Amino acid sequence: MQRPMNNEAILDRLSADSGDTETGPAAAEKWTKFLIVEIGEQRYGFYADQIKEIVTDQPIYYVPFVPPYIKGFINRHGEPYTAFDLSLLFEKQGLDSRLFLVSRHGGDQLAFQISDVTEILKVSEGELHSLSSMDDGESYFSGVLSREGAEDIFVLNIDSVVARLERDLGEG
Amino acid sequence: MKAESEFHPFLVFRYPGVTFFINRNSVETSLFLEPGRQSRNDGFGKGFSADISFGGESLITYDLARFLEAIGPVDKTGSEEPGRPGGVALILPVSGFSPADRSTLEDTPGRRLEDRVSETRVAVAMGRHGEAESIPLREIRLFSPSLRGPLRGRGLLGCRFPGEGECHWFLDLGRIWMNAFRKAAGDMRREDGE
Repeated sequence: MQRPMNNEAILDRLSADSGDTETGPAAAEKWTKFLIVEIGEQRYGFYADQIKEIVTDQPIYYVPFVPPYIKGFINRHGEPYTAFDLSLLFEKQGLDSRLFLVSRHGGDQLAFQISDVTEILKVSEGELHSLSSMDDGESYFSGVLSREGAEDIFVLNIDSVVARLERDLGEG
Repeated sequence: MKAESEFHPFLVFRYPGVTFFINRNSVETSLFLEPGRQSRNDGFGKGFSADISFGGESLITYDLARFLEAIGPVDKTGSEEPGRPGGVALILPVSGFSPADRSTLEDTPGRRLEDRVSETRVAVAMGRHGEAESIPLREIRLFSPSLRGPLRGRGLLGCRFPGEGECHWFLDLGRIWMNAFRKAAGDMRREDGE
């Protein structure tokens, strides 16, 4: 009969799953974890280390004077996090969801409205391909995850999304 | 001593759909407005009038309802409702404005504005009465850095979340007044063909 896991055991297990204790040849290879999410009908990847938490049923507080793809704020522990509707920004179609990825990135408090979290992927460096043709200089993605037999997944470049917001606010 | 210094006096205004607070120290005093007062169109541009007197001067008064319209989803019913109290006008000393804003007030071309702008004070007509409240500074949050500068430029300094489902805005009335004034002055110049 299996012994019930105490907290230490659970933490050890999580640590092992996260690759912290990897040894041997595989450890020499560089791995990156991505959170794969659905936003509307599209799938996108986020660097897992850029995401602090996933929260649901969050009331959105309206903010004036911002572009339409900013839904407002969500309140996380008394702090306002700017809520992005990336579906509106990318697909011109607003998303109706109260599920958010919460990120603290470069000093900014950000939240991204999503439809669902589909998986957590741990991929090797070779599976993340850079985007070669960024002719409009406005790519919101830092690369694309290409795996055999699976659809390509674009990985969000949070910096470029924030830069777009700053540009739009500057023009406002 | 330290705990006391963490609190600050604010005036809190509650409208249906939005609650905001302003720094009590930015206001010189307040005047009661007559119930049912409608802001007159004195030719100053949208939202401005000069029907409030204080200290022997006519003050250029901005109706905050105009700003609330720009904010969006706010119930605009206020002093216009029959039987409602008329709210207050908050008197702001121009000495609290930035040098650039004071200079704008002094140098604004267009006789209709220039002749009547008080050099010392302006006013903001609120549709409601506010409540004096001492608020712990630790409860007030700045916006995320990417929004902070632009929103501050619009007169939104921060916010607080005092309870479940509540978000109160920290407003800069002086900035809101100046923004509206600049816009009105610009409209005047265009109308005058300058």
